[in-house]
Amino acid sequence: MKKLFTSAIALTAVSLTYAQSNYDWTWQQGNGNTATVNQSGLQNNNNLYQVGDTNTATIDQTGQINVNQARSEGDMNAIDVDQVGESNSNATNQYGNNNIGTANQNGFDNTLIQRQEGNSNVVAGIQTGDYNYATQNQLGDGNRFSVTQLGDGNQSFQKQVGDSNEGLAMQNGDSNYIHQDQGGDDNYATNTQNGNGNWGDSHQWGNDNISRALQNGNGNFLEQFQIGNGNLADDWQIGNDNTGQINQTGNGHIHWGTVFGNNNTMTVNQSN
Amino acid sequence: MRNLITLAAVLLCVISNAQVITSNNVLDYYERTQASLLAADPASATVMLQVGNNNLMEVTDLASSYIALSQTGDNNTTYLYNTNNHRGNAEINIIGSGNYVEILGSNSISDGMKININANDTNIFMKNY
Repeated sequence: MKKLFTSAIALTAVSLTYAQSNYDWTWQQGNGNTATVNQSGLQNNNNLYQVGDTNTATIDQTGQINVNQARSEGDMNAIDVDQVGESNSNATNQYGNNNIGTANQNGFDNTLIQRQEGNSNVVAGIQTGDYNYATQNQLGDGNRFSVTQLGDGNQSFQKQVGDSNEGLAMQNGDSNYIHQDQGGDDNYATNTQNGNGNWGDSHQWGNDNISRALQNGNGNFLEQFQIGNGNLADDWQIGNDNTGQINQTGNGHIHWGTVFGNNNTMTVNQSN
Repeated sequence: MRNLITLAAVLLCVISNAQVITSNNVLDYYERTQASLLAADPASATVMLQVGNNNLMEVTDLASSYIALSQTGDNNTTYLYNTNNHRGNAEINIIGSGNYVEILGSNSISDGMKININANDTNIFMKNY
């Protein structure tokens, strides 16, 4: 009985230790900031925040209940996060100056939300397997973003507002859906999906729009609008339940279509 | 010039992607090259191609400078509408199966128009006003 009781206490202690492993909160305020955090097993979590001057950060977390939330507010920002297994999640925020972002998650309940506000933005993404979901979001200056999700629940929404926008998103298999949306200046967006539930969508509003999409197999549907200035939309859908629908409204219009097989339809309105 | 450069870049991307698709790429290259040749000065140009199964296409363009549509097999239908007074320059080629083409628009919709159908259940309905 005494042994049993001792064992129970020991077990409880161990559980408590495990329950409390990995957690980190880093906060830096000014000048030559850098921070590197690596955590390896169990209840990972991390929450980093850097405020001004030469920020950088690198966070890797390896197994179990990964979260992470990072942010840099001003000056030469950069962040880089990898998380490998279990309930991944991440949110990268950055607000001003030479932003970059990136995060990279490997398996299980992925999510990823990123956001940047001003100056030489870049943000990336990539999630490899299981219940992916992403959104990215940028506001002004050198914008670019990109997401790649390779398998399982994919979704992905992007958005940009002004200056030298780009786009991209690419999902390889399972229940894909992408949505892109850009506002003004040198827009470009592209989305590629290779298999399963595909959908598409992509809007662009003003300035030198281009927008491409390619969907290879299964439930395809695609929809691209463009409203003003240099427009071009270029869609391919290769097999299965294709649809289409493209509207372009003012200025340069061009549209190329191309569909190869199955229940094709395509509707285009161009105007001026 | 800038347009031309952009189009050339896009065309290169398309060609590099197309290497992993199918033998029908040849048709596709043709159509896309066609578009890029016109690309120096288009306000509107639409080039579409569908190859197999239950095809349908619909284009409504109020100021088209060039339209090329093409469907190759199965239950094709094509709708082309243009109610403005612009020269249409439309090229429609369909090769086989349930064809049906409907063209509605002002008199000038037929200016520069070419239609080749290689047959099966052809019907062409065209109304100008």
